Amino acid sequence: MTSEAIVDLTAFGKNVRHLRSVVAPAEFMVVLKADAYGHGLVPMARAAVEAGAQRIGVLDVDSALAVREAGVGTDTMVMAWQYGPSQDFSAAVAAQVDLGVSQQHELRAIADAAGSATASVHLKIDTGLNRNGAAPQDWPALVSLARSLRDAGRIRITGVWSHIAEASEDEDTESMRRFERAIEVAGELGVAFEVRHLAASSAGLRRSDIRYDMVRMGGHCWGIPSFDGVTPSQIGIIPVMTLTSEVTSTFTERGERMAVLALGHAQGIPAKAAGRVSVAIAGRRAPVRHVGTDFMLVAVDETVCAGDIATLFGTGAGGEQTVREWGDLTDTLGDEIVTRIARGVPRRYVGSASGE
Amino acid sequence: MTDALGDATAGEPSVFSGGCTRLAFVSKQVVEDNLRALRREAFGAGVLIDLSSEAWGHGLVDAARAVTSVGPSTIAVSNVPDGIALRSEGIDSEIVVWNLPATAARDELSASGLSAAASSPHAVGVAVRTGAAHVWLDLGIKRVAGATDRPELEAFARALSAAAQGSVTLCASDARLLHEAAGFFTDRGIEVRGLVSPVGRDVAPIGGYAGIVRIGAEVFGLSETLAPAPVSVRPALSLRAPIIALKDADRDVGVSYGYTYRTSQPTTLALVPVGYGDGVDRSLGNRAQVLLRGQRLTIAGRVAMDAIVLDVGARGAVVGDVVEFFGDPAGGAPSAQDYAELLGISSAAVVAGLTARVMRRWT
Repeated sequence: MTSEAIVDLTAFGKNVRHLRSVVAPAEFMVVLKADAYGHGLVPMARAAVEAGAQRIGVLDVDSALAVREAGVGTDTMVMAWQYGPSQDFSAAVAAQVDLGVSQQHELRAIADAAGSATASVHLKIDTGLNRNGAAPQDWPALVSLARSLRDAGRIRITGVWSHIAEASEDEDTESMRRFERAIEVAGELGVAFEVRHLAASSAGLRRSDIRYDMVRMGGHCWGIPSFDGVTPSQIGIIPVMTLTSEVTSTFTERGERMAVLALGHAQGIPAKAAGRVSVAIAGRRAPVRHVGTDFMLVAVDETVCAGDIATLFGTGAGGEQTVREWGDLTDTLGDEIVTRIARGVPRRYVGSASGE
Repeated sequence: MTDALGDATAGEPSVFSGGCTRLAFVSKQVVEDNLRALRREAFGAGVLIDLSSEAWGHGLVDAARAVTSVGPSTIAVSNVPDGIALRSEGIDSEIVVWNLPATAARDELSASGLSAAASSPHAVGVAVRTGAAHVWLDLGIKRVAGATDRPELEAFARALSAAAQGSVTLCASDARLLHEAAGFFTDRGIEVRGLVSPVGRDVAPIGGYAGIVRIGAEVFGLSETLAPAPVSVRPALSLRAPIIALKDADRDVGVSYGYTYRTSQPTTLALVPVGYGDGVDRSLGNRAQVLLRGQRLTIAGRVAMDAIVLDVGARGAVVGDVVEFFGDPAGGAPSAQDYAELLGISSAAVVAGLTARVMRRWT
């Protein structure tokens, strides 16, 4: 292929096992939203199970159903939490998908969809991010409705959860306080939870006090550190995606030799990549000079010619930068870089997540 | 009442049925109108329609059907799988593949009757080895290159001769180079079938060669450069999503990751399920606008992977109201060009950068 994203399942398996052991005794959820951060939902769901993950988070019901259809059985928790305004939950309940719930109308629709199976729900409290999650003033009513639906045998209340803003350590601590207050309020209303989960990649790795019963991680599973000042290896993770592209032609302009790669903004190369990031060709760095709609130019020496393979980002083993470095250099997260690599760039899976 | 696009002012959620939350509507009519206008400007020249990057994110097969319904044309695609996809959908036009890998297998193109563009002398050999139905030499229309000089033309001629390829179509944005190259190859016994220039340039078939214009993202009302699309075309795609939750908020509360937006008064916050995972750049928080109920609003706080927040104040927004990110500015929405200018990229890149998670719906 002219360009491809190579996905290292062995690295992914190692990351998942390492992160699971770090957060233990808390449970570990592998987050596979946004097409597994661009790595491919179905292959990565299967790989997550092979790596020993027992809990998978996706975003929407369709993705959760796709994971079940890919052969991920009901011994693995699969959780969804973002819904359309007129979401039909019947297939999700029948497939035993755990459902995050922020609003009363969602809870009613889930209870109505419950047939022979009982829906397992995780009630979401907003702890300051002001996105989804019930506001503290709406929380008692949501919990009370859940209690009555539970008592009527129409739902099972499995979890309580929230997202934290990662604005600062103090803000995160404040979010924890609000989370615990919400659990207390629910307790006073006669509702207890089996699974309390608040932390994602960043806080989940750094702070043991915030892990509760489960930690949800996306970025770290892909080998992308989600906080500053560390390399992947310093926190025991390995970058999973390596993006390569074949040099399609070369030319010389104003005394500088350029190689053309058929990847541009349309394929997900960041708007700010030009002048900031480099690729590696035969172990040597080639700075990115210009990015167009569907091509890019990198500065090379006389040894580079058409057909040579450039590595845009990867583990660093071939002299290339990592995704995290690309994110830092383009003022964004590595998560955004990998998630936006276009589906038109084929994914090639190598290795095995099972560790055997 | 609502139109088929889920009218952004009326707040009708019906088009977002089931779990569908992120939709890119593409108007077949607008694509066809754009193409007719562009063909008129080409004064009867032949047409090469460049559907690179999966038709610049509009959906390759639907786009190919729409453009071929307007009239005969050659279609160009980014890579071999895209060409095969069009063939398997019954598109019988000539199809040119821009990026043929050096490792492509023998007869890979002849199996599907595909042509290839070659942007280097080396690529000529690859195109012929893989069985390209015809070879298009890209001297600088798609590829970006320094000035093509005499030694390079000679290298192309040697490669054509070595591969026993007796005819070519030439592509370049520089009209002088195009005609000079045509004379050069003709003098060496290589048949020149046509000369391809960018749309909007002089395409008079000088010297008896057939004139062809390359029409790219303009057919979708977009531009592949930083400059806006021609005035004769309109944007065909509109990115929309419904409000999925509303929340009352006090004055001076932070919104989304990093709390980069704070409310200035007691207000209502709306959650809209489009984020950078859909291809809306993370840097657009607190910068890009959207259309809600006929009014422009700026995204409040950071764009997350799966959602943005709007501070909707006392507009009376309800769950299910449709938010339009970009589309045809004639309807009040921002354009892809507006987003492009905030990012310093082309409008074609903004739209082509929408990810597979956004469902494309042709109407």
